[in-house]
Amino acid sequence: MAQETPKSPEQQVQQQISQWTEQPLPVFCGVSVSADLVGFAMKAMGSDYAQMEVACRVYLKDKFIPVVECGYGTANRTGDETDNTFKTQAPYFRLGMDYNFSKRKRSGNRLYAGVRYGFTSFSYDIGDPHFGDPVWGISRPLAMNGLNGNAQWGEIVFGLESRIWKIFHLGWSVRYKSRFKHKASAYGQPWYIPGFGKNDSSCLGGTFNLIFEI
Amino acid sequence: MYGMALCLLSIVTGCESVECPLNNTVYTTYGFYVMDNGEPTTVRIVDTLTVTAAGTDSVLINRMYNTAQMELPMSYFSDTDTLALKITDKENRSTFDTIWISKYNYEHYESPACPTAMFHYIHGVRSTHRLIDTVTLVNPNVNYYASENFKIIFHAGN
Repeated sequence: MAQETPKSPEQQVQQQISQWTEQPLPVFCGVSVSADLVGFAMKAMGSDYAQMEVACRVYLKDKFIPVVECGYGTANRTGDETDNTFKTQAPYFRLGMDYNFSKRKRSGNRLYAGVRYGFTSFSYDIGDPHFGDPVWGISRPLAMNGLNGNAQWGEIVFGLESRIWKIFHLGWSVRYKSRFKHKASAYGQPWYIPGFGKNDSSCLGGTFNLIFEI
Repeated sequence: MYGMALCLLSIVTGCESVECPLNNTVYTTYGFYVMDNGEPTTVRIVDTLTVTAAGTDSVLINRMYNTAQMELPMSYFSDTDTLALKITDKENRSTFDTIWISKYNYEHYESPACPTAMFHYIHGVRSTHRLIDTVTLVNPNVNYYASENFKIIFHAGN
C-alpha cells in the first residue's frame, strides 16, 4: 500500500486554491453599483455639457453581465463666435450586456466587451441674440424654449476593471455610439443629446467608474 | 493604466468638429423661359436686368445681362416679398414688372457655433404682365438645398 508523502503548508494552501478555482461558479455571482466619475468631474469643472450616471450590474457566472445605466445629462453652451445659446437637461437610460473575457474569474479583475441600447426624451432651448435680416436690415433676437426631441442609439463598449480594496473596484470603458433614430424640432437640431453626447450620427465616449461590488 | 484611460477619455470626449454652412443666407432661384411649341424653353436675357425689393434700399441685382437665371434672397420677417424687375434694352428703354411672393418664414438653428438661418416655404406667387407671361412655382422650399424655385415665362418675341 503506497503511502502519501506529507505536504508542506504552502503546498496545502496551493491545493486548496486550485480546488477552489476549479469549482464551477454559481449562476449568481453578485451585483455591483457604480458611478461614472467623468460626468461629475466635467460638471464640477464647468464643462459645456456633462452626464452624471450610475449603473447596476448583475454577474451571472461572472461571464455574462446584464447592465442597467441611468443618468442625467445637462448642457448649457454659448457659442464663442455667435453668442448663440443651447440648453437642455434630461434623464436617459441604457440597457445592455457585457461579456467578461478574463480567464481568472474569481480575481475581481475583468476585461469585458458589450453592447448597449440607449434612449432619452428631452426638451431644449435655443437662442440667437443677434438674429436679423442682413438685406432688409431688421433685427429680431431669437429665443425658442421647450422644443421637444428624443433619440435612440446603440453602443459598443470595451472596458477594464480591477479590484482596489475589498468591495471597491475602479474601471474604465470606451464606447462607440451610433444613433439609430432621433426626432427634433423643425426649427433646429439639438447640439447635445443626453446620454449620447454631441449630436451626430456617431460619436465616441467613455466612462471612468468607481464600483462597489457585493 | 488609469492615467492612460483618463487621457483617452479626455481625447474622445473633448474634441469637437464644427461644420457650419459657408453662407447662412438662402436664396430663391428663378429660371427664365419662353414658351416654344407649348413647352417652356430656357432663354437668356440679353438686356440688362435690375431687381429691387420693397422695404429695402439694397439693389438685389444690378444691371445683370446675358443670363438664364437669377438668385435672390428673401426677407426674413415679411409674409410677402415685392420684387420690382427693371429690364432696359440697348436703346435705354426700361420696362418694369412686379412679382409678389407669399411665404412662411421659419428659423433654422444649426448649432451654438453656427449663425442661424431663415428658411422659407412659398405658398403663392403672382406678377404683372408687361414682359412676364406667367410665374410658375416649381419648388416651394427655400433652404440649403438650392434648386430652381420659380419659372419666369416671358412673352415670346420680347
